[in-house]
Amino acid sequence: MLAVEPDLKPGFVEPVREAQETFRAVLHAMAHPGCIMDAGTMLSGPEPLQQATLAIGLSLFDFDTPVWLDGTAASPTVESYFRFHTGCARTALPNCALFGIISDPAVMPLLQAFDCGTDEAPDQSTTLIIEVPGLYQNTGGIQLVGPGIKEKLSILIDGLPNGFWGERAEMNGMFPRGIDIIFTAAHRLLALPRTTKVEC
Amino acid sequence: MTRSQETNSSKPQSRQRWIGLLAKAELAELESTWENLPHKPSFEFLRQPETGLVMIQGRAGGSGHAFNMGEMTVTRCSIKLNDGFIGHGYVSGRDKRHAEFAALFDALMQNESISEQLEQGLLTGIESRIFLHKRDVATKTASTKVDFFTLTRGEDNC
Repeated sequence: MLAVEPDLKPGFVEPVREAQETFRAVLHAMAHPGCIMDAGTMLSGPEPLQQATLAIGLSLFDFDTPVWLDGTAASPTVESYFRFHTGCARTALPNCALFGIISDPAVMPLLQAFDCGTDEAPDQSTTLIIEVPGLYQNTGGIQLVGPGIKEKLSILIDGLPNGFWGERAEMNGMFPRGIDIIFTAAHRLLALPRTTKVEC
Repeated sequence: MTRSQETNSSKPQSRQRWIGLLAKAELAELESTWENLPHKPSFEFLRQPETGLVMIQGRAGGSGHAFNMGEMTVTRCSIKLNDGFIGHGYVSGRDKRHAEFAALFDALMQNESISEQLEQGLLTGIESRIFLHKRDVATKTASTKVDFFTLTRGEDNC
């Protein structure tokens, strides 16, 4: 019909409580890499984005976090959704983004294309939100070691391109620079901060 | 650009006008108009009513630079009617019901089948109330006006 915004969808029903719940889930996931968390909210957001991606976006994006969207995620509906609810700007350049949303990891750019921060300000790097078909714990796949993990943790992440773990391993040497990643599948999320080492 | 955006941008002043009037309306005016609507549309909240601060900018004269004058409390709300119209309400103060009604009527005003009725039944009333109030204040102020004049004092005439 005659709506100005292209099919704008509602955001959080209780913004404060829900944003805090999602923030808490992300915080816990970042502190315990490989631990699968529930984003803790139900949103009827724009296609094709998943529940957890939307919840993270509404909780963390704001007017000074440029967001990069991949080809699948980039639609006027998604863009206006985040702009309306968070005030964030979209950027076309992956290396200028503070957040990146990757809806189709099979054709994602190299990790090195994103901003790794600087030695003086490593916190200014891109945080990637990668949507994957499935996340599994304790089922082979890859081994995680590093801060926040007792000994080792094995996880399986579906749908990543072939060279992905190689690209990520190369970035381990750049510490403190690097890229933090949050994987999302439906309403669940799993974080892989730059400090975590992956053994294939 | 969609057709609707063209429609809206072709008469931005009118939407600006009614959003302004809705913000200055009394809650009772909005409530009774809503109660008397023959068909109350169903709607969903795009943004729940929320209260925050807005920085008011001032400017000293037409050529002065803008400066931050102070913050004011504003409550805003956005809703979507089931027929797709989206309404935004921004009102001063912390009255969430007022913001909600302002958003609802903004959405209804975009629907041409009902806008005329609302114009007559609601907006004209608000406009004349504001006009009368301003006139009252102006009249009261005018009655305190003092005209200064100087009598010829005479000592120079010698």
